[in-house]
Amino acid sequence: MTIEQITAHLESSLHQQVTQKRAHRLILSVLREQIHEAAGILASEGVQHLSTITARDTGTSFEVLYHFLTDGILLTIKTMLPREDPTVDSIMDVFPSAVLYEREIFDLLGITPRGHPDLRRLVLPDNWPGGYPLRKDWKPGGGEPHA
Amino acid sequence: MLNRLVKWARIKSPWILHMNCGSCNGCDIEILAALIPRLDAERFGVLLKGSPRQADVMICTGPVTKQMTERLRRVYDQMPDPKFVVVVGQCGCSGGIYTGAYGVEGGVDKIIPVDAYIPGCPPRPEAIADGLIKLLAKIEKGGSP
Amino acid sequence: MPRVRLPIGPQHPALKEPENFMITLDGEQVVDVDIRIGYTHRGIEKLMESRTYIQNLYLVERICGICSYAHVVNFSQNVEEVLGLTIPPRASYLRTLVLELERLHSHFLWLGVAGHEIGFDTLFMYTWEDREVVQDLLEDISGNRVNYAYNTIGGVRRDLGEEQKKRVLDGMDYLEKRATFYKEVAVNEKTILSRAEGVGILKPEVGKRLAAVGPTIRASGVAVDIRKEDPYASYGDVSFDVITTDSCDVLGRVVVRVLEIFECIKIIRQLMEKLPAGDLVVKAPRKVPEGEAMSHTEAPRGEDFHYLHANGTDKPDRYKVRTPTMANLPAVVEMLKGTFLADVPIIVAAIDPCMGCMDRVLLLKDEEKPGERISWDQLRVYANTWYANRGWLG
Repeated sequence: MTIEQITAHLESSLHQQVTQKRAHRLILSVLREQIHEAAGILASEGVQHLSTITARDTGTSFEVLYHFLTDGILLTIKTMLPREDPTVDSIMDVFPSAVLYEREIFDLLGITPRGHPDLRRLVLPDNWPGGYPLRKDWKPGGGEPHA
Repeated sequence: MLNRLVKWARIKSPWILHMNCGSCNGCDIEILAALIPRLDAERFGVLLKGSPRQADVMICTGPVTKQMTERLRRVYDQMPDPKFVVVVGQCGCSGGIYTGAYGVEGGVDKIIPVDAYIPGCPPRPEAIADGLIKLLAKIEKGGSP
Repeated sequence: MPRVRLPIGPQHPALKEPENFMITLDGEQVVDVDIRIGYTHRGIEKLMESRTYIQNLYLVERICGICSYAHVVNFSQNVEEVLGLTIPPRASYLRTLVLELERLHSHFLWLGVAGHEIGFDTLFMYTWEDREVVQDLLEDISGNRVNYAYNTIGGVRRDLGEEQKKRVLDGMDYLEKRATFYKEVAVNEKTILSRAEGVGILKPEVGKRLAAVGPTIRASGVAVDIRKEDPYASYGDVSFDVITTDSCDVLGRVVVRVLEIFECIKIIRQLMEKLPAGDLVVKAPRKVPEGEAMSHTEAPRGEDFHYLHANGTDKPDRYKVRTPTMANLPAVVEMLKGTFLADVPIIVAAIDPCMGCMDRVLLLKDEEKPGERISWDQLRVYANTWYANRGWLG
């Protein structure tokens, strides 16, 4: 599938606009309920490479970015999660390569991918006192304990 | 007499355990580079070993991550006496560039006693070989450290 | 036969990706693998938020000491993109030169480590001796053998003189001769063939589904290479081939890396020939406006991905790094399933996870009882003896 067909399919199904940031960089913002649907569309269009999942703390909410790579074009799908309820649907069933990336955002930012079959700590030590270090309000030795 | 023999053997053929405590790999490849034919640290009897139970000298690299702290201590305890510890690289000496990161302890000497420091980021293979020779000279002069 | 669980690791140095493989064995056969990483997790991403961009340049370099320059180029590209800077063509060429020299040194290094893992230490000594030629060139150009500190935001820090250019070309001539020799060795030497052929199979469709990257997936016949697909630095100006093989095994990964050495040499010769004159650096402001950028490069091990979110200050708001070994971990789990324990070292080494220190193995005879500790070295000796006893090593 060409990138034009993929973006057309995404735009018509999700009613969101794909923006071109620069050559080889496309960005699409979706609602958090649409993440799994968007991933499903990409998979059905033949996109197979998930580069990684990034999450960041904006101070008031969390932004999660899924970076897909197809034909040298980085297509980033982003969504916002409220701070009170940092959960998002897991895309592991359509992109099995998300397994470690979803565990990573769970470990470092406390974002729970719903439906992930094997949600465990990934990089933090076993005796970690608690708290999610990449959150902006995290201080060494403090924070809420891990789920 | 036996003591002198043991000391002689220790100086002529120190077996080395390489322990990575969270380094970036820069020091580790330079340690290996000290063993290849160009410098050939093996001519001093230096032999890289995988098991702590067979090693006389432990070479540590890296700033000691929280996850490795307990393991470093355990490996050190497994080494037979007398044992010597050499730290290679700035971050193993003091935490270096990683000072202040939440995942690091900062310096091998916070966990176990250290006999020699080889600073640099990473130190050149020549410096590593030189550090080892200096350690051997120290053992020769002072017996056990 | 009762199943045995065998943890390998955790001492493993690769960047922030040290690994612990929990291997479940049925007799000699691996039936399941579980990975625990994070033993050298230093918290670089958080630390970067408290340092300025210039300080971060040197921190990013120390994510990994082997492919350090790929990380620095990614970081510089991200910051330059948010700043809207275009670096001078000469700087871009010089960056490409150091990137390719780094790939050369990394591939020679890997070839030696792979030789070491299959008990072929002669190869290790040979390739590491040749690698010193590359290290000398890197030192000549940048001033350091490892962690070159060659980049700055907006360009590079040192120029390349005519004499240095000649030394680079001389070095390439020598390395080409050596690489021709290794090409012969890789496909004809019985030691390599008997240990690498048909081992660690990764089918192309499985590899693509698990998003494997770099030589690991190229050895399965999938031609992905960020240098070709999304050219950065000066890769758009040079011609080179993407090397693939379709044998899908460890031998294929050896062959791909050896042939890539020739492509590196080809690229470096073109760069030296076309190297434009001009400035080395454009001045970059200290503060970076609000914005975000993503950059990925083809590091020696595969796609290296960086993400930057800037907030208008002189420090990044969020920086994210995804290194190639992390991307290859799900694939390595797939490769290990169904193989023999004796093949584990070379299969793990074949993705080039910065091996070297993964040298403690805890052997649990029974799941409840405390285990006997054997080292990675001993596992390697075990593997080599196992093969020798079967008479597969001639």
